[in-house]
Amino acid sequence: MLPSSTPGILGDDSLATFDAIVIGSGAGGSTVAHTLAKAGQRVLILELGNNHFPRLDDPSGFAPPTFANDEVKMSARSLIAQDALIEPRSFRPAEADGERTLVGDANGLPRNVGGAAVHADMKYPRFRPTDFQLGTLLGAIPDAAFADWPVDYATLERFYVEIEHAIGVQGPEGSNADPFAPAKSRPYPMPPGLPMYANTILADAARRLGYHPFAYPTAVTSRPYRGRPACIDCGFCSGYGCPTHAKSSPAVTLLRDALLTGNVQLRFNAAVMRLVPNTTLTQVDGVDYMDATGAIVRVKADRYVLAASAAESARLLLLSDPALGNSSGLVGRNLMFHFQSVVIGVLRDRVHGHRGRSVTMGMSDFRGTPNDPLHPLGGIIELATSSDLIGEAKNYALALGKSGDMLRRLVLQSPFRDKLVAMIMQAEDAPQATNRVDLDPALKDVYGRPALRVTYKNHAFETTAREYYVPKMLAIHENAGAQFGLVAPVDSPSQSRHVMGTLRMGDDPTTSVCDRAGKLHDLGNVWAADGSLFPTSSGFNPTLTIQALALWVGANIVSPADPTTVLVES
Amino acid sequence: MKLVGGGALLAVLPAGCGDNISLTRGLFFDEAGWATIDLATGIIFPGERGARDCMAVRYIDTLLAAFDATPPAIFAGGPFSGRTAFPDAHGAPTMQFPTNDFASFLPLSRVQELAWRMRLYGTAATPGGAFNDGLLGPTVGWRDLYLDGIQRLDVVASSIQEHRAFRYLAPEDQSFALDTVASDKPEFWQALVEHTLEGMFGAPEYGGNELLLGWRLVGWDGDSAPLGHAVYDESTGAYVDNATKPTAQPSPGVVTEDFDADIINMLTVAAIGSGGKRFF
Repeated sequence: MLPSSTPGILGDDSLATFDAIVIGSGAGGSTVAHTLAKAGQRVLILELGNNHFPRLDDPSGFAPPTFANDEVKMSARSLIAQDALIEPRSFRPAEADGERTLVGDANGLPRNVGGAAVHADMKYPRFRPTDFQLGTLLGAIPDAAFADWPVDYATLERFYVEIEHAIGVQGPEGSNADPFAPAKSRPYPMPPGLPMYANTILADAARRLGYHPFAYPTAVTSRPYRGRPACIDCGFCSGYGCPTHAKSSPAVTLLRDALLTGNVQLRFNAAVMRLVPNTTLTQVDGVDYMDATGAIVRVKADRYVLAASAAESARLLLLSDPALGNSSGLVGRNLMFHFQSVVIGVLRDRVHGHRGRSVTMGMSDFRGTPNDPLHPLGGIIELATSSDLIGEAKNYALALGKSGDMLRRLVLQSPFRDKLVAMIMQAEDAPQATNRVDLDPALKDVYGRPALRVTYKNHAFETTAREYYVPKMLAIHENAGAQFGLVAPVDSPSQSRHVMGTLRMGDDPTTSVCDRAGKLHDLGNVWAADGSLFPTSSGFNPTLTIQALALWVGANIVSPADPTTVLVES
Repeated sequence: MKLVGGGALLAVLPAGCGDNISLTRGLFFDEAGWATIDLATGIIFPGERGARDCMAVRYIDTLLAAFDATPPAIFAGGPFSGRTAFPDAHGAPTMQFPTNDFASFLPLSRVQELAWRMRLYGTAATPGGAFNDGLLGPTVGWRDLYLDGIQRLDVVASSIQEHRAFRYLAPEDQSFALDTVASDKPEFWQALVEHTLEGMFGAPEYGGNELLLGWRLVGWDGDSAPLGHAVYDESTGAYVDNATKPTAQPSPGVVTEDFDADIINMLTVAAIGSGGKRFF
């Protein structure tokens, strides 16, 4: 019976046997669960975090979420962010640096029903066709492991269309679109909403300098869409759960649709401890998780899907058995983040970057072309803003060490919020086998699991691209009338929340962990369906591609002969 | 360390000293602790509509006593506060306001409760919270950080002026004492600064931002939903920008004000030091 009346469960609480268990309810997990449930499979979703979408499984309509325009709740007190006090991670640049150099947050992602997309501002560009072929196009690069994807853009194109329409993406068409973007077989279901004033100032400058800014494809409604209202540009977007369901995040789209099939049960506050493999490590026979009371529960199904995020999916394999799925030795390796270069401009005038969808425009002129020294591979530029008042004041007080009258004057004159415009380049991050996640030898989380450790250092590939493009970004700020241009440090360690790699897909089981359908080469009944599959990172926000790929994985599970049979939108 | 009986003490103090002390007892702070932290927040963010007017100390006190309430006063509810109205079909505010969902707090999961007990009471004092203490050492809870910080402020105060608690020092001596404690108790200082600013600029349901003075000081829109800053008008098929607080165009009536000389100097240093530029 829907909605579920059992605490801790969304979906059909009477289901007791399952065809599939999906670990994670975010972009990948929601998508694959939806595909399986639509095909009649009974699916159990296990979600580590809490639920802030009450009655998400109510067929009579949407209930309000508990998210709000509340900076204390979402930012200062981290309602859904990974809490480093109970789930610490460790970090070190390289093995030679010892067991760890930092403990705390290392690229953590939100824990809650709906996954990390809940707090994202949902920028949803597609990857380009060449992004799937960088192994071939770039050739051998020392200390890097660029590889072709085993699926290409042409294969994924209809899967992109399916996601864009199933969840609701707004984006520009024709002469307003990104001139470098690949052709789409179907227009976006919604046109762009209003651009933020702060973004148009930079876009106008970029245009004067010959660049090609465009309205950023974004998974937010600009029209009433499939039972959800049009966005009201409340301004609390990046870092916030949406108070009106206008954000087309997986929770209120494919996850809700999956729950409403009646074939899905979602248990939240359920921390997977380990997969239980058979003795020969050729398949998985169960999953142990810690429930909301702290008890260990074992659940079983015919097949298992890892969708806990690139970092956590690899960690779950390592927690189960270091050899599980790991004949290649690559589990956890080739960890990638987008290499983010942030260049900010401080204007004389107030541009209220706190109103709107956080990022409404972008440009891909700096994405570059493989092997063109005049256009090295950088990434898409987000024309961005700064919006949080408490965060701004803390920056002056703690990062700059100001208090008293000077702090008061900074808050009132607001150089780093109300007069700030920014460009963020999400650049290709070269895959390196030495960059990886593994288990910290001593640090634990609240569930008693060895903590996740990030070992990560940048390659000259991406730092060279930064050096090339940062002066061009500064020039745009100057043209826009900025008084100051600042290059903001966001790495060492990386602050990126775009986490990819770790279970890379490929056709050769000696150089990849998963096959072209997302199934682990070594295991008969385990698939990955999140950013872990990415062989390369591209230079575009990853979540649309995570969803398109998860749909591809799910389609290959239910219809291996012709995965396109699951597509209904194209 | 209570101010009970402080009347006699006040009588021997020089005129003007201690005039601005609040005699409030909090849920966590006693009168002396409340007065000390209240004054300290005012040093961090002084002036009219500053931290003291905003009652940042009440925010801090509410946070430190969060587990006195059920559910604990950690995460306010949602989605709306009732401070802005629902829009009509054309984006104008109606007379209909949502109820204040912020006024009730969200129940915590088992691990959320554990995390917040660790944060407030310390890892060693929280059953099940010491799982990394062997490796990292115990994490001191904010309640103890504040009590220790208050005591430390008084110790430093008495070294400035014998037998004088922090709250009875002259303002310039209070600033000096707080600077001293900021350097030798950096964890307390960081907590105090962060909480002061949260108490000024967070939603008032958390105990600070009295009469929205913090938001009014900076002209902050506050929580804008469900009105928002733009509305899709189905009758015309177009978005309508908010007339007074638009997203897509300059705000009406906003004038250019240049940065003061100190801030220009600071930004110049920051820009050049970061590898950026000053463009004028």
